[in-house]
Formats: sequence, C-alpha cells, structure tokens
Amino acid sequence: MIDILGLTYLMIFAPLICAAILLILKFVPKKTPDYANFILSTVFSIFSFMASCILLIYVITYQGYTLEDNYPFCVIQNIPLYFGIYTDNLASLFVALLSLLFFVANIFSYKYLRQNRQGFARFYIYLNLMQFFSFCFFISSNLVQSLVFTMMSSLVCYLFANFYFQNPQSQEYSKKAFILDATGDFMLLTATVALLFFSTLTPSIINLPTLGFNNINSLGLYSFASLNPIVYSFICLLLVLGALTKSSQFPLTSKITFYTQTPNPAFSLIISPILLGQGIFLLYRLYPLLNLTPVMFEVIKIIGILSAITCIIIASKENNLKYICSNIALSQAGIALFILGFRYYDTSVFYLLCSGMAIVLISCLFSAISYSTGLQENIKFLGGLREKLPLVTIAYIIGSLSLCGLIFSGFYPKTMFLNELITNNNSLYVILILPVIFLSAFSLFRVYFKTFEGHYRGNWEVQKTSKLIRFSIVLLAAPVIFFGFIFNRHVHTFLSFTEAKNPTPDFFVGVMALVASLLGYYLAYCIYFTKSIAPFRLRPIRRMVSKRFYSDIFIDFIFSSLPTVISKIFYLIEKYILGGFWLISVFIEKLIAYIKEKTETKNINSQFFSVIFWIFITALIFTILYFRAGVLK
Amino acid sequence: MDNFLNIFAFTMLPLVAGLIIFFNFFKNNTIIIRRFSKYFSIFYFIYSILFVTNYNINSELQYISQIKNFTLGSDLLSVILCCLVSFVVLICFIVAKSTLGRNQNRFYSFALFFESSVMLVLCAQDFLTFFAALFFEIFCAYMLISNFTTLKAKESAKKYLCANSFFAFMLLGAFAFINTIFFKNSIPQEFINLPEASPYISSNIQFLAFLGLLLVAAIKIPVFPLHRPLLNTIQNSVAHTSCVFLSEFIIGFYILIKLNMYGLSEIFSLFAPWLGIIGIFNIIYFGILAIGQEELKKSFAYFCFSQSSIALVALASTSIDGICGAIYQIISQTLILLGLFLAFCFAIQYLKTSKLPFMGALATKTPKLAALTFMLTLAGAGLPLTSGFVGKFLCIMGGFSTQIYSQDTLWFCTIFTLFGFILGLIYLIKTFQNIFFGADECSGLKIHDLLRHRWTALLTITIFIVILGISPHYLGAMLSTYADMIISMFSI
Repeated sequence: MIDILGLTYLMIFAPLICAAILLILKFVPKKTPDYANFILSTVFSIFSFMASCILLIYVITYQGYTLEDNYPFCVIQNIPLYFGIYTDNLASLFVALLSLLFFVANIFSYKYLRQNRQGFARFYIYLNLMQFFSFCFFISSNLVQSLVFTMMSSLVCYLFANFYFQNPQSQEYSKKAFILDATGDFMLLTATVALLFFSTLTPSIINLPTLGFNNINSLGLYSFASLNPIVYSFICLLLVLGALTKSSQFPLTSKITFYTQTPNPAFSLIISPILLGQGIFLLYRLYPLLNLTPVMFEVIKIIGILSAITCIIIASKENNLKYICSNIALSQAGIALFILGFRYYDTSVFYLLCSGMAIVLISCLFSAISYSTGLQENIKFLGGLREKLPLVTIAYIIGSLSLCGLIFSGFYPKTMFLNELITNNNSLYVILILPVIFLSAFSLFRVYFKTFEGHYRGNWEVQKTSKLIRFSIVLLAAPVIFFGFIFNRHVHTFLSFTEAKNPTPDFFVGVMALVASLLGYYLAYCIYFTKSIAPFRLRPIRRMVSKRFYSDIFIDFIFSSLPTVISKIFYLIEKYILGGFWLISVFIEKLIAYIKEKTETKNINSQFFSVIFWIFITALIFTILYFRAGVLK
Repeated sequence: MDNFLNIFAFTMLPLVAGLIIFFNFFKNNTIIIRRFSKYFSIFYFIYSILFVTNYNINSELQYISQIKNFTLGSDLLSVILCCLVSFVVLICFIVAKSTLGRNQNRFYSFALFFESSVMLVLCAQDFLTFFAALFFEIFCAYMLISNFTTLKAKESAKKYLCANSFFAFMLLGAFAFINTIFFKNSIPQEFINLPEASPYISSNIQFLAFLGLLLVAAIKIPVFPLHRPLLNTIQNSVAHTSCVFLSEFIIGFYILIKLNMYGLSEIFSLFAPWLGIIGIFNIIYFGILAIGQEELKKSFAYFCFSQSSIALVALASTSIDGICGAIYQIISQTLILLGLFLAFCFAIQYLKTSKLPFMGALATKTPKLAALTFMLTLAGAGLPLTSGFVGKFLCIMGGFSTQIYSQDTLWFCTIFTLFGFILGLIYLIKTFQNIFFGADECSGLKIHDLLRHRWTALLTITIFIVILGISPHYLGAMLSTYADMIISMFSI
C-alpha cells in the first residue's frame, strides 16, 4: 500500500531538492557539465509526474475523498498559518497537468539552451523553483498559503523574464511584468488579510487551517451574514481584481506580452493554464465565497468576454509566433472566465484544462519551429514546413482543431458550454461567443497556412527536430486528443459542487459552433492559401489592434507616466511652496542676526544688556503661560 | 545577571567608550581606534540582546535605576529599539572602514556619544533626563552630519539642528507646566505617571504637550510638511552616518508610541483619525515623489518617508494588531532601509555619481552587491519569507481591526495603504534595475566586487531580515503583550 500522503509531500518537495542540488553544484569549484543539470532535473520531474499520476488515480478511485494535511508553519499575532496540502479532484487534475508540462519543459529546455549556450544551471534552478511554487500553490490547503506561493511564482516569473538581463527590452519588460504581477498580489494580500481578520472573530465556526479551503463555504456565509454587505463586496472585488490581474485579463492583457523575452520553454509554461491560470484557479477555489455576491460574477463575465474578443482580434493580426500564442491563450482564459461568470463552474474548469492542453501543445510546437529555423519567430519568414517537419504539422493541426472546438478535446467543453447557455435562456451571449470561435479558427489556420504551407521564406536551413522533442510532442498531443473524450461524461460528477445533470445536447448549437469554426478556416484558406480574397483592412480597427487596444498605453500611463507627472507636480510644490515656508524661517534667523548686530556695540555692557533682555523675554512668556495654565486649572 | 544588566551602565557605556577615544587614549592610531569601536559595538549589541532576552514581558517597566533625580528604566519597546540601534551603529562601524577617511577618532567618539544619547532618550523615565538626552542627541547628530558627511552638509546640519531644537524647546515649555502640576500634586515626575496624573492636568495643557510631542516626533519620522530637514540630512548622508537618520526614525516612533499614545491616550484617541489621514497622505505623497526623482539619495529619502508612514497608519488604528504591526514594521523597515542605503552608497561610490540616469549595468561588475541588493529590494517590496511581508501583513491587519475608525475609514485605510505598497514596489524595482542593469555606465571604471567587511555587513542585515520573516512569532508574542498594555490605557 502506497503512503499517498508521504508521496504527495515527496512530489511537492522533489523540485525544491533538485533546485538546491543544482545550486550547490553551481558553486562547486569544478564545473558541472550542462547535461548533468538536464538529467538531474528531468529525473526529478519524471518522479513528480509519476507521483502526480498516482495521486490522480487515487483521487479518481476513491471518488469524493479529499486528502488533507496541515502543518503549522508560523504564528502571526496568535493566528497560526499553515503549510498544508488539500488534494481534491480539482487540485489533482491541475497538478497532474502541471507535472506533465514541467517534464516536457525540461526536455525542450535542453535543446533550447544548447542553442543559446548560456545560463544552463540558472535556468534549471528557476524551472525547479517555479515547479515547487506552483505545486505549493495548486495543492495549498488555505488562502494564505496560496497567496504566499502566488507571490513567489511572480518572483520566479520575473527572474525568467529577466533571464537575458543584458538585453534592454528584457529589462524593461520584466520590470513591468513584475510590477503588474505584484499589484495583483497586493490586492490579494489586502483581501486575504481582511478575511483572515474576520475569520479570527469566528473561532467556533472556522476549523483548521486558518482560511482553509475545506471550510471556505462556512467562512463566506458567516462573513456575509455578519459584515456590512458593502465591506464584503469590497473584499470580494479585491479578490476578483487581484485574480484577474494575475491572469492578465482586460485591460491588462499586455502583461503577457511582457513575458515574451523569457526563454521559449519557460514562456510555454507562463502562458499555460498553470501560471496564466493561477488567478482563475484561485477564483475556482473561492467560488463559494464569491457565490454570495452576484455582482462579482457580472464583473468576471464582462472582463472575460472583453479579454476573449480583444485578444483574439490581436492574435489574428500578429505575425510573431509568441505573441500569437500568448493572445490565443489569453482569449481562451477569457472564455473560461466568461463561462465562470455564468456560474458554470465545472464547465469552466473543463474548458480551461482542455484549451490549456492545446495551447501548451501549440506553444511547444512554436518552440520547436523556432529551434528548427534558427530562432525565427516571424511567420512572414516561415512557410513550407509541412514537408520538413511532418510531425509538428500533424500536432499543430490536432491542437488547432481542438482549440477551434471542431473535434478532439476542445469540442466537448465548447458544446457543453453553448448547450448550457441555450438551456438557461442565455442565447444572447452565444452571439458574443461565436465571433470569438470564428476568429480563433481564422487566426490558427492563418498561422498554419503561412507557416506550414507554401514555400519556405527564411534564410536558415531548417533542421529536423530531435527525438526527445518529437517524443514530448507526442506526449502532449495524446491528452489533447483523448482527455476531453474520457473526461466528458464525468465532468459534472467529478468537479461540480452540487449534483448537476448534463443538459440535453442541442443539435442546432453544435452546428452553429461548427459553422463559425469552418468559416474561420475557410476565410484563412481563401486569404492565405488560394489568395482568392485580398485581406481587408479597416484602418481604425487595425490601428487599435496594432496598439493592442491601448493596453500598453494604459499600463504605461497608470504605472509610469501618471506617477511621474504627479511626481513632477509634487516636486514643484515641494520646491516653491514648501521651500518658501522654510525660507521664511531663514529670513527670521537673518532678522534676529541683524537685530543682534545692530544692538551690539562690542562693549561688555551691551552684551550684558542683550543677555538680560532675552532672559527677561523668555521668563515673561513662561510666566504668562504659567498663570494662564493656572487659571485654566 | 540582574547586577550585570544595569540600565545606567548600559546607557553610559558608549559614552565612556566615546570619551576614551575622544581624549586620545589610543594616540591617533586609527587601526586601534577602529578595532576598539567595532569590537565594543559587537559587545554592546550582545549586551543589548541580553536585555531583551532577560526581559519579563509581563512587567510594565524593568531595569529601573535611579541616581539622584535621574531615573532610567526600560519597557519592552525601548529594550527592543535599543537593541536595534546598537545593531545599526555596529553595521555603520563595520562599513566605516572603507568609507571614512579623516578624523577617525572624532567620528567614532561622536558616533558613540550619539549612540549613548539615543539609548538615554529611549530609557529615560523622567522629564529632566529625557530632555537632557534629547538635546544631547540633537547636538551629537548635528556634529556627525556637519563633519562626517558630504561637503554640502554644513547648511543642512544647521537647519536640522534649528528645526529639532525649536520643537524640542516647544515641548520643554509644555512639559514645564506638566512638571509643575506633578510637583503640586506630589506625583513623581516620571513618564509612567502621566496616565495616572492626567485627571490633574487640564485638557489644554495635555493638548499642548501632545502637540509638542507630536511635532518632535513629526520632524523625526518625518511627517509632511516637516520633512525637509531630514530630507537634506539623508541626501547628504554617507554609508557610515546612516545610523543618524535611522535612529531619528526610531526615536520619532518611540515618542509617538510611548509618550503620545501611552502617556496622553485621551488626546491620542481624538487625534487618531487625523493621524491616519496624515499617514495615508504621506504614503502617497512621498511614494509618488520617490518615483519621479533622478537623484538617488533624494528619491531614497522620499521612499523612506513613505514606508515609515505605513507604520503611522497602523498606529492610528489604535488596536493591538495595529501597534504590533507598526512596531514590527519599524524594526523591519529600519533593517531594510539600512541595507538598501548602504547598497546605494556603495553603488554611488563605484559609479562616482548619484544621478540615476548616469547609473547602470553594475550587476556585471559587482554580482555579489547586485544579489544582496535584490534580496533587500524584495524584502522592501514585501515578498513572503522576509520581514517586510510580515510588517505589511500586520499593518493591514491592524487597519482592519481598528476600534476607533468607522467602517468607511477602514476602507480608506486599506485602499490607500495598498497604493503605498504598489508605489514602494515601483520605486524599488525601477531603482534596482536602473542601477544594476540598464545602460552600461561602468565600462571605463575599475570596479571590484564587495569588499569582505561590506559583504559581511549586508549579509548580516539580510540574514536578520529573513529570520524575522520566517519566524515572526518570537517577536510577535512579546509585542502583543506590550500592545495590550498600551491599549489598556484607552479603556480607562
């Protein structure tokens, strides 16, 4: 019998141990070969992957059983804070996906770093730390732990973004990304501490651990009942805004583009549902708490759909593979949030997982393309890769079809969601989703036709992908094909808070989604393959898209220009108004000096007189004050 | 042990050590003077730790020592702050090795006098000792600033002396009345009797004394618009005189907690909401000013003021959590600011400029300094596992657990403190990136990485920050007992 608890702890701490070993090896005088870092990290990631699979099987086998353990880490003001694990269905699913991703990232990284020839040990240390922090976040048993590890993840993301610190753009982007991430973290911190304080007022209701996810429901109910509704809504709003900032949602969609300077394998991780989805995962965890304030779901819904639409429009115009991939990922995350806004919790999780897998596959394929074409990331200089990279082409088609929702894993959550919208009389919202589906198909097949069809437009001779990369592509493609099919029937029982039933499939909805996707495909086909239609250009929209819907400008304005301008104004106040007041004191000092100079005649009598005069004045003031005080008393 | 832990000896030891150096006992041998000062500071720091560890947290006042009319004693807060000051002075002495050029005997003697005066201010229990120590402290600070900082410092030191003395004299006037009332009612003229004597003192006099104390604290913390003297001081400070402005912060907060809050609790409860609003204004005003400055030390000074105001907001909440948070924030902030200031001073020394646009790419030449500064930056930003996180965490908690504010003010507090954190983060990351990455401004310069003593100083600070971040409960438990005592004054 496996000690599942021990295994889970081992799984969590394996990356940390690996990072520690790599760090020690880095400071050993004898230089460690590059492949030693790779082998060590891969061995640990394989172990984590296997352990996470065992954990998932365990959770599936013992349906409804939640593995929980808490260890008091520290006490702040008599409030014990716990480091714990809470592996319910949701956490075990995310952890399994996470460990798979890190395993693949390890493999991709080796080839990538071999090409770039710098920072081998540093990269693997960061990677393992990121894995450790992500594990601790997804498996955390309480909100404080989640907060701590999301902050630590932000730090590692910053380190990755500044990996090439000699590059000025990398420096600038990493700074902006970290500031945005930390802003979200501080919002979460404020809301968490507020909840923590209110939880200490209710010792009889709240069990261990403090702010535990196992009793977030009771905490929510109690807080909602005992607090002013505005205060409660405000706390929830901070939580939602913090989570959405972490997930780079509208209007902070540019945040993800600040990570484009990260090494490719790390970028794949950042745009995966593991790191981009940290905020969304937190919203899943806090679902019972938010469920009491319906207005929060409206906020989530609006921000979700705005992100989905704006990002997919940007993706259909971009030429850089990284930008395209990040915008598609943001758009998919936006749809998952939009679904959550309707309180279709289980469908949202299912959608995020399915689309996330496809995005990770596509992102890794882009890394493989970049590796094969000498770090070329612009689709204008690619083409004709179908013959040279057949496996990559097939995998890309699988990922695209899944993301469009035509077949494979992506098909099931999309149909499920549209069905639920129709069944619950939200047909109007279907109109908002259909353009997103259409544009997703268009942008994905646009990339396909420009990258894999036609003739190669680059200068670098295309290299074949290595066996390791091909193996990891297959490893990633398998769940994209089968996960949705296997999981489809168990979504509502596996993930739902309440006993929900599958809505009756609506044939019409399925057809609508299919038609939207096919139209997107057909348009891309006509414009970029047969070239029978000239690409139409609407100047105002193009201008807005090229500026990413002013998201960059908005971020720069809020975090850079506005403080600088206000700072200049404040400085003028400091210099001329406050400085003026201080100048008055200098004038008084000069006046006294002048009087002193005038009254002094350099003889002892005048000195004596001056001293007596000042003593008399001081004594007079004190006496007046004394008698005044005496009268008052 | 009780005989060994004598508060009179504790406060006078640096004075004696300073006098030994001042009267040329070591015959101008700079190496011996430096080593004597350093080892004395190490001993003194350990001695101050002994005071903390042996303190009975349930007693209101301990280690009382009376010689004629001078009463010294210490409560928990003063013992902890004494320990902190001795640490700051120790670090300053360590880094002085390579930054101090001339008049070593004068510097070390005045620094030790200054240390002694700060200890006296923190441990004074009667009015006379307090004012004597306060004026002595101002004088020592003046001497240090005017003689051992930059060449432009004379003017700023004079302003600093004038402003501090002016408010100290105002306070002296107010306390002269209180003293008289104490005398009339045969109450011993000690601070601890202030709450007990408050029924005999008219509210106007209490108000006058409160205002005087507040102004003295406000010029040291500092609070808008009284920040200019300290701003000039920080701008002209160098690594080895950082103990001056950090001790000023500490004394300012001590006066606010011990005398304003504990001694004149009735007036404080009236003032608390205003104090909170002033604190929030400070956080945002100085935070924004810090971002826009191009001069490194000036921007750092504004950042210091902004961060210290977080503790002011927490204090204004007048709750146990708030007071604990504020004290924790003061301790954490002192360590972080000390580390950052030293790092920035080293960077200025390496790059020979303090203008941010002309600084950059130092990380390539000094990786050790970059790594340690990054750690300190993260601590300043409030990353978990550092003392900065715990300080901020407790301050927000204090804001929520307020007993005076209405819920609307609670919102106000929370939202605007959040802005302070964000502004602090923007400043820190921007500055760190500017100095250590950015355009290559050190290509033609001969730069070596951190010298061993500098490395030791920064590493020690970082270790303390991490220890306080990982295990806040040791200090937290002590502080909550103290905060409980302060809060009990408000329920009278």
